[in-house]
Amino acid sequence: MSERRTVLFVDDEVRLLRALERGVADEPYDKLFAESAKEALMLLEENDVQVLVTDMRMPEMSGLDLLRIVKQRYPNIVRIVLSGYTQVTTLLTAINEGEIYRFITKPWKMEEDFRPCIRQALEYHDRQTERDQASDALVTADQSDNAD
Amino acid sequence: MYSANASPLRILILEDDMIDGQQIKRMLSRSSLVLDRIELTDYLENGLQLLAVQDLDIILLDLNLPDSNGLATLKSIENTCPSVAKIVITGEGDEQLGLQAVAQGAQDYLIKGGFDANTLIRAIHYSLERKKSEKALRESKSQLDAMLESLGDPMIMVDKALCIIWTNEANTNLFGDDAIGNQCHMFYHDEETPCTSESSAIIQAFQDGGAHSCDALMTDKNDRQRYFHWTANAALRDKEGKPTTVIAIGRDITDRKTAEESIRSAYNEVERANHELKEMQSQVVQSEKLASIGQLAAGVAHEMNTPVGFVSCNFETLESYLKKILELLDMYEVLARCVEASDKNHRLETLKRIKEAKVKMRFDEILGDLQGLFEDSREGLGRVTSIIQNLRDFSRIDQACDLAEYNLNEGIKTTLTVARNEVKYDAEVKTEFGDVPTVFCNAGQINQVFLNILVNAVQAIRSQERETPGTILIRTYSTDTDVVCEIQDNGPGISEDKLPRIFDPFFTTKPAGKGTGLGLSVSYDIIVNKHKGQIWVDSNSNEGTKFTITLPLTVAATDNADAESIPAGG
Repeated sequence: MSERRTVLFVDDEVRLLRALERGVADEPYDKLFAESAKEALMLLEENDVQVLVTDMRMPEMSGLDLLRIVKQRYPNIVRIVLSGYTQVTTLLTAINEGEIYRFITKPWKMEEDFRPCIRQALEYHDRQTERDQASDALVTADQSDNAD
Repeated sequence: MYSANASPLRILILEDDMIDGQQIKRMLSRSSLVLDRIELTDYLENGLQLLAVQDLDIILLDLNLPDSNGLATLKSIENTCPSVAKIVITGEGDEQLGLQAVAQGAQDYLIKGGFDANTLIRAIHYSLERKKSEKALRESKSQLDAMLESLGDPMIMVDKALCIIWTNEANTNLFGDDAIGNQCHMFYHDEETPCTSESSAIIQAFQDGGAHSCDALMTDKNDRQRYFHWTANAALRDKEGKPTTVIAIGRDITDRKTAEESIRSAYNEVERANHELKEMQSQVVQSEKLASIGQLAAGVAHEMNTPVGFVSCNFETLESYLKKILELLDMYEVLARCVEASDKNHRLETLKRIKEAKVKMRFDEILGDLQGLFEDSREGLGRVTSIIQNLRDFSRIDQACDLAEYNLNEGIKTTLTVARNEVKYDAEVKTEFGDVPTVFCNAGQINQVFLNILVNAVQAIRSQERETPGTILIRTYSTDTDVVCEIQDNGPGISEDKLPRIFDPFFTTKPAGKGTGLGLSVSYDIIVNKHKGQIWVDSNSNEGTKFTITLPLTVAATDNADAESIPAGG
């Protein structure tokens, strides 16, 4: 796909966001950074985002709440969690309620895990979109067939 | 004179020679004696008949009578009336016989024809008096015997050779009738050698003449084992005051001993149970400690994950930066050689390549970012260092001995840092630190108490699922005697029915598996038992909870031996 893609990173630790920014600087997509779930939601309203990477535990609104909202409002955005919490309950809630694509643990490896993971997420997003479009086309074709 | 108030005397003269008899009768009649009557008879048979029907006071007895001779005569009389005084009249040269008679019950003797009225009167007085004292002596002896026999406790008298020379009835009943003549260790214990002076009160009494006692397990004649408490004391002493005989009395203390035994075994049982309980308690304390460490570990791990995460990420970025910089450096190397060789064409071409590479790798951005990368990383490493430092301060793992100077405010600050991750998403912590003097205590333990209360407060606030974070206010101040810390939250509070139980072990309001129910119980133990401080709680439902902890300024913390103390210098 030729159109530009955008990834949104959310974490309440600004230094962590800056480290991510450095790590993905050469990656072929646009990057957005938010220091809170609220800020993330604002950015989502103004931008077309394909992949969301969020921390779980944040003040005011948690990562899980953000995931729930995003799943509802922007179901096509591929959701990834980047968190230090690896307790089973946290993982299960994220998977079941946030329907996440990947769970990356802190600390992470940029070259080995993080960047490949985002690239895969973007590809996944593209395939999903293609499939949806194909299925839409099929439906449209069906409808036009029926209309005939 | 014979006692003035004595009743008139009744006298019997048993004399086969009537002339002698009449002469004695005359002597008596003419004497100052107050007389009731005088009987005179010559046959023993007659005398005995008289004695059978009359009460008499004294008998003047010629041993040789027509129907009886010698000491046999005295014996007959003695058998018939042992209580009557007797004076034996013997023939001349028969003094030996007189002495024998005195030994066998007569009170005196007179030589026939060899005494006058005065001698006779004196003999009568003497005999009556002697009979009277004999009677008194016999009475007191029989009283004493009755007393000793009626005594239920066995009693023995032992001579210097430890031979039993006398026992009472109780001793015979208990241990058998063959005591006399046996050495006491033989008789009682069937032992050839005497008891040691440490174990035998009898031997001790012989040694120093004092009263001693000992307990002994003895076997009675029915082969029953009984415990006796023996008391021994010197009975008779030689001229130097050393005991020659010792009297010992034993008291059966079997029941008491049995009771003592059962008390002792019950006591041992209690001791053992107490010991087990203590061991269990220390396990409980240990497991509570592990539980709170486990809880902390999760929080601390997360607290570390973030800085370690971005520092390691930056480190990877730095590596890629360096690779690019080295690439560029190579090109500058080429450029330097061109300058050296004055190869102008090649030089311009290289410069152009360098320029392109710089743009491609966004070299200016890298340069501009380096400082920030280092700053962020330095900050992250500092954060990790401080977490480790605080964890160490919190548990004081490097503290050589248990008690050390402790600043309440510093302790709370450390605890807050350690608990930061647990607290920050649910509550805002406000501190009002007063000027508090240092106290002596076990910092690790006290910090554990603060952590328990802090984490409880946060969990209580979290359980409310409120829109805005809760507030925890920590205040410290000091009084004349104590330093005080108040930890107040605006959480849900503790209901009145649960309030009295919160310090009970295993009492928890948290869901099963979440709380050990030991946090506050261990806290109570640490503050009250180990540091002689106080801890109490004020709480109203829906208005929050306030814990107050006091630690005495003159702390003499005790019982720290229980709390895995490291010996001084160890």
